[in-house]
Amino acid sequence: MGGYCAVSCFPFILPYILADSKNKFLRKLYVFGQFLLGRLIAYILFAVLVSFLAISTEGFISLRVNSLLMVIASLIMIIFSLTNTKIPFCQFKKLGGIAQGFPVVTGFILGLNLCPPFLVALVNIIEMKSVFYSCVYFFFLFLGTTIYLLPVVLISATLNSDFFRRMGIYLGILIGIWFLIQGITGLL
Amino acid sequence: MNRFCKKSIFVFLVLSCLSLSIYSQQIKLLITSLIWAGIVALIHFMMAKTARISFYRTIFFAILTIAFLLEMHVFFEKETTFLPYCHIGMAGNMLHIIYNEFLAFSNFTFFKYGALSIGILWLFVILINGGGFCSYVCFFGGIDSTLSKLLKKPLIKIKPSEKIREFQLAVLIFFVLISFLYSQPIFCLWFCPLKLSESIINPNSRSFIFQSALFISVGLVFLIILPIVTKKRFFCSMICPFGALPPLIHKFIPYKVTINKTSCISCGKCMNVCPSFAINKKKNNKIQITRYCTLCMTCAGKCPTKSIRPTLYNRKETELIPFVSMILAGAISLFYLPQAVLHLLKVF
Repeated sequence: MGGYCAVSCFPFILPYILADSKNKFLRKLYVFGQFLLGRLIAYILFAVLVSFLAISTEGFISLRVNSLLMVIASLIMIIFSLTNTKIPFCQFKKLGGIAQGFPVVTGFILGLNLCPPFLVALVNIIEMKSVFYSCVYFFFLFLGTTIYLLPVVLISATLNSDFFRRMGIYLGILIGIWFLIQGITGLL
Repeated sequence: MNRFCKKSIFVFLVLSCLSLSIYSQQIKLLITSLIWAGIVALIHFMMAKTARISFYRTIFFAILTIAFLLEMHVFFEKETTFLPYCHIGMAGNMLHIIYNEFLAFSNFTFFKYGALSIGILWLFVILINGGGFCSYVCFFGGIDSTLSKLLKKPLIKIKPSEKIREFQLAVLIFFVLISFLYSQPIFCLWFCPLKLSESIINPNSRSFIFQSALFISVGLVFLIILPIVTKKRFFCSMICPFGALPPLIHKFIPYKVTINKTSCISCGKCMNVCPSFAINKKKNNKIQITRYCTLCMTCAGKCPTKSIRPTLYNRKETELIPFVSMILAGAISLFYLPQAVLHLLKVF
């Protein structure tokens, strides 16, 4: 499960960590922490919602829900990357302050992603029929999958220069455009 | 017999031996490939004797490219049902390939047929030829290199910038991550303008329109229009994931194109003509050739003081760049050029 999470989330979290304007390890840890916070909020909210309503899995398995989330996440990533560039006339730089919170939002959106490990967990908590135990289950699911994402921060600790920052910006734009196309394709 | 002759004869002998081993049972192909080996040796001789490396390289590269396109797209009759082990597709797909090789480790035939074995071969090619692969061998390089030489002057002048080449590394990382995520060769499916494996696109899928739009626009814009209009190799410098690899291991590659600092007058002509954005000015106004150099030697042809020379490890001047490159390019072209020539003769 964790391996799938790592491979799915890695393309999203790496550009955020690399492209951040401050090149310090603690700062990178902070950005990573924001991302994890978003994921945790998503997991817990989802656990509460599903266990309260006990909605059947068919209602949520929707390609369009995933595709819409993908479009939003990719647009956020592109805007975040553009706020960190030095391109003249780029209006996105005015969003610089708001963009500081984008890792949390992206983490939240990815936390809502209906990937196979998530669906397995979903089936389990429907059977539990308890809000408290569902939250505990998803909290430990979050911890278990977070371990697989830790290498991102450790690798980025060695990548402290303007060169890697530019890499992060370019990657953010490329990955953002890619998932935007995938999301739009899914919505059609 | 001077050294140019000896080297050219050596080129001919190597390619002839290779021709004999490949086409020993097919007389027509054998004769064609031996003639081609002679032509390659002659071109190498002219390069070495006249020192007009860029001029003869361009002609040689254009011939290779036309033959490749003819053989792979016009005359190729078999329906391809497997992915080609093209160096560009492999570069972007490397994590997925390594993972598959790991799974297939218990199968004793993996060494002979495994994709990673071909990947190691490509790595070996980069180590012995460096960026020269992009200027002598690669079919995409042949297209945008030839088209970039069509006009005498560029219609749009692009300022030399190392940041354009840095973008290429981000493109490689992008393809590696996304190909691993999807377990598919994303460059081949979505971006390759040549579409060597046409059967891998599913025309019934929703994403077919986007796939088609992407590879047509990448082909038209980066491979055809921009090289003609700007005289710069945009596909090789910005899009190609394989092109990001030689600069990464630049320190281990022996061939460098070097500027003689005492005779260089910093006129900047080499910077303007370099098609690969590989030459820039340092803060002290001195010109430097960066790791992005593809050994095309276009700069050497333009230098008014003849200060640019191919060297081994930035020290001793060498004639090895065209020598090794012509052997490599000639060897790889033996697999398609003789067939293309014979097909062309049948048509006429």
